Amino acid sequence: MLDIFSTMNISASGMTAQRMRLDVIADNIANAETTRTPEGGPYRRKNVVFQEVLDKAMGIRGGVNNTLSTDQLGGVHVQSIVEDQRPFKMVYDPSHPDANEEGYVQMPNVNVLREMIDLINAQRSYEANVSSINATKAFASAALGIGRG
Amino acid sequence: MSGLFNSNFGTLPAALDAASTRNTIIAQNIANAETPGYKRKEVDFEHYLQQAMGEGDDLELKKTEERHFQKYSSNIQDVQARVRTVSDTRITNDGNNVDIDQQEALMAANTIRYQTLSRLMSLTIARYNTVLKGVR
Amino acid sequence: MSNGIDPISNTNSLDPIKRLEQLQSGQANQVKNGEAEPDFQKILNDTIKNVNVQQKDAVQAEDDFAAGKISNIHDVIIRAEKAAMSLTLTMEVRNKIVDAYKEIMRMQL
Repeated sequence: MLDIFSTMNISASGMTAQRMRLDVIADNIANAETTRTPEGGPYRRKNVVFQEVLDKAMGIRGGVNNTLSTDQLGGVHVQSIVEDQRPFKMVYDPSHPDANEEGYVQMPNVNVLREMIDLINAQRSYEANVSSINATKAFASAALGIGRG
Repeated sequence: MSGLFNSNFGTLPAALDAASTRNTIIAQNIANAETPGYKRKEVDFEHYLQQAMGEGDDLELKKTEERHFQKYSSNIQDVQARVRTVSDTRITNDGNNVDIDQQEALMAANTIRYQTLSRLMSLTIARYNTVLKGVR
Repeated sequence: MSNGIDPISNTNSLDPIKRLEQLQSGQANQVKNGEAEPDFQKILNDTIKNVNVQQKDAVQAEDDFAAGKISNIHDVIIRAEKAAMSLTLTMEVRNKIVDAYKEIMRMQL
């Protein structure tokens, strides 16, 4: 594929991944107080796992020098969405319908403050990918200008 | 014809290639800025070109293994960019060593570099055209 | 008229054979008062040499920039533009000379 487009695809994959992360963060914040889920028990915080995409089928060009070729680079993808296995927060609230015999309620293991920080990070990364696309566009227009004076 | 243009556009085509490769590499780094265990990639070109131009360190490279870098060919037009994975710098908790701000700055600088190189390419072509077409 | 140039004696400079002799003996470069006029051929040669130097300088600037040894973009661009301009100028002058030559060749003698 054309270098310009494959580079844009890399940045686009970054944007897609960060969008998915934003969705997950939004889900976490929305469910920060959810005590009932279809699976039973309170909501568990979810986390995205990113993985670099390398097209191994392309092989490593110039094996002698062990150099990577840019054709192999495919950006990033969300490999999986995993649940945070940290324990739930125990909140004392005897009036809550889900309270146990001692009056404690299992609340989701979501820290809203932390989610907000993740949100800012995801947004920042998303914007970095946008500026990366803009840089690639500048490359394309500079290349088109070659020889035009 | 190919001989004529290969020899006379000098280092510009390779430099443009290198800048383009660097752009792709930086895009990959930025896309993977939060991938656990991802190691930053870098492009080496200027150093090799300087070596080929007869500057920089003139030390012979000792080859103890077949895959080691060979000392650069003396022809400056044959210098190619190389991609290298950097794994020995500051690493965050998740084993990732991409500094997204640094990458963005590099990308901005690289874009300006590419624009300058393509402008130089245009000027070179214009010089050829001046001679080939005459000025009229 | 106050210069004292004799219009009749001046016409012998139009004599083609005489001019040719003058050219061959190198007298064409001499003005009446004996002061040496800059040699046209020398000027042309110097100009072309200068153009060549400019071209080489432009290529050097490109190489240096490609090798990351120049950090000033304006420096590279100015050197490349200089080369382009001097080349254009030389080509312009060449065209004028060719035109002048053609003009002379068309002249009815």
